[in-house]
Amino acid sequence: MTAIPLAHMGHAIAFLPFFAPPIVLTLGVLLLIARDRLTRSRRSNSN
Amino acid sequence: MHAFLLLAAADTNPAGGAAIGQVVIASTAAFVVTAALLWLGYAHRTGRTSALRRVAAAMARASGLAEWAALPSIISALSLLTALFGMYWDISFHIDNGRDPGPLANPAHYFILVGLFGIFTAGFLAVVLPDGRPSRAAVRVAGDWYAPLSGVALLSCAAFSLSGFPLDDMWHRLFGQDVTLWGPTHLMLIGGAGLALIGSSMLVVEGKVSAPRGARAQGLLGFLTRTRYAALAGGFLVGLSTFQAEFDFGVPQYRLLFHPVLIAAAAAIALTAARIYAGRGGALSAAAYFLVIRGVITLLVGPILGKTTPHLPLYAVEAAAVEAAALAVVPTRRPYLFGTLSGLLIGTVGFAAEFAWSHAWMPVPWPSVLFGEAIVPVLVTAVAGGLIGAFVGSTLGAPRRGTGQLHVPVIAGAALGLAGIAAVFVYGLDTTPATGVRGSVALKKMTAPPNRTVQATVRIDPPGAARDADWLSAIAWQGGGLVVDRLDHVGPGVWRTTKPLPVHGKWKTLIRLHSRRSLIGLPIYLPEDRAIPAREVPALSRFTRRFELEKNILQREQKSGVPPALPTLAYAAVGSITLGLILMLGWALARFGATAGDGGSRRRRVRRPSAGRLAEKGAT
Repeated sequence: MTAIPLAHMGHAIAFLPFFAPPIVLTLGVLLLIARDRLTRSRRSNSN
Repeated sequence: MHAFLLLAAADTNPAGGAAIGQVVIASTAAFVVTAALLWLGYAHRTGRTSALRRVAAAMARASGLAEWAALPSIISALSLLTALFGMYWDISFHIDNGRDPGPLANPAHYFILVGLFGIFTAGFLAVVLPDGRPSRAAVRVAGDWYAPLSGVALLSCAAFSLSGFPLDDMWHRLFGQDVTLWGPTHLMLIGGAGLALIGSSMLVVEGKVSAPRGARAQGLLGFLTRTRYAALAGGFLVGLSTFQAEFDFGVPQYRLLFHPVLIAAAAAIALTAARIYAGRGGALSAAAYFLVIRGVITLLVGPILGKTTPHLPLYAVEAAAVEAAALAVVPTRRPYLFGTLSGLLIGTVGFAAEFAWSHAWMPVPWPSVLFGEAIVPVLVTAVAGGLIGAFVGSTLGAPRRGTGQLHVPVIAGAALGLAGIAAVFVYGLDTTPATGVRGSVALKKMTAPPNRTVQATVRIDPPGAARDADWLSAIAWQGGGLVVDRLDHVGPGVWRTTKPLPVHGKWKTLIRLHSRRSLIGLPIYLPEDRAIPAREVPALSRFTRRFELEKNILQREQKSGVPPALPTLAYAAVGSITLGLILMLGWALARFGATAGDGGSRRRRVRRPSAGRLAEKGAT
């Protein structure tokens, strides 16, 4: 049986400062855009 | 803390992933740069600094683009070139020397890291720089903050690419290192950068259309900006060609039919798009830019830095074929018909030209048997690529020319093209290794130990196993260089190497046999590798060994005994992220084309496509 090497997640955590800020920033911008479009779509539907 | 240190100590195995100390250094540096960028963006938008505005204004004067587009477009161009050079240099390092001791142990990695971070920086600046609404295609982020669509696309491609780093490390730890360019997370790294060319192209078009009248480029930048659309199309061709790198270096690990298929895909997508949005001569100029950029990379990596030389396809005949297709069908009026015709020409005339070129310079020349194997997949791919290129070119060209002069087709044609290419890949990846093939090998000493080299004579049983092979060659790599040698046929079922094969130190030396769907190999010499761990396969003077699945030899770092569900989950995760990026780019391009004005043209209008209806919604 091969154990899933979750212990090695330590490296992924050490990588967090490298990849997390750009990804979080990008996802943040995309979420804000999606929220704005949904809100406007709801408003135009209600009118 | 004690447990963490123990784990860190155990994790120094270089076959598994990155050394913890180097990961921390890379992460800290990137964190500082991101924090600085974030502060700069915040200070700019709240009026605390005018530094960014001043630099952007200077760049705008020089480039003729809008202020919010000028600086990011220059950063993205330089970053993409930096990452490109890093990628080819890095591949040559791995081919010549094998695994790295860590992420910063190989100088090429700096170029890749800086390049990908630069693409993110370009996207970030494009999103935070504008005051008010920068273009018709711009999307509102919040309040009166609008982001250019191109900035959002660039940002997404960069984030996709950067997320490949940690996922790659996790992948190596779960499944062992996949010593191939086509590992899923490797494809994320290069795919994100390659697709960023779409974001860069959108940025230049969006920035040019929104630039104040009278803005003119000057000096050297003036020349570059006058040819920028062809340059971007050439860059797109370079980006799409990165997937061919294993073939360019002479170490392909997948069926040979993928080489013409990948060339056809890149040519059809990029050159068709180039001819539509860069105008007459756009395809030829894009191919010329490709040859200049890749030619310089080849010179740098090979002759100057002394690594294995990456070769490149010509694309000249494909570009001429696309220009010829434009004489028969007006590309801006009937883009999908133009794309289909271009694809048919690329899949036939282009295929024949690249066949001839493979014998002139490519490390793995195409045998005649490849024609029969590859003609249908190449044709399907080329036509499918033509459809995608037609959509990309039309949407990129629409804001500049206006829908009065350029018909923007519906996205369904491009989606069909994407499905066609996916089907060809599924077909090509389905392989079955031939069984029961054995090789009796006699090694003749060419150089004495310790740097022992040999000539190998191989009797293959059954003799017919090598008949009409796509390749029968010897390869030696990762010991300080690369040797690729096509075997000479010296008798019935008997083959001989023509170059000295190294069988010492870290070299990995084997015979490769690829025929139709089968890729098998016979190891001549493999070193002991305690990090995997793996035993030495000695280079005895005479031996008989069974040909086995070649992947087991070339990718001996891969772990065995992984639960079957785990790869399925991992592929599904990477596939979902990739699909998300493709859908996002598809939406961005469709909106880009749909929000174009009519260009104020008095020319006869073509029938307004359904995208025109989208325009009315999209422009709001």
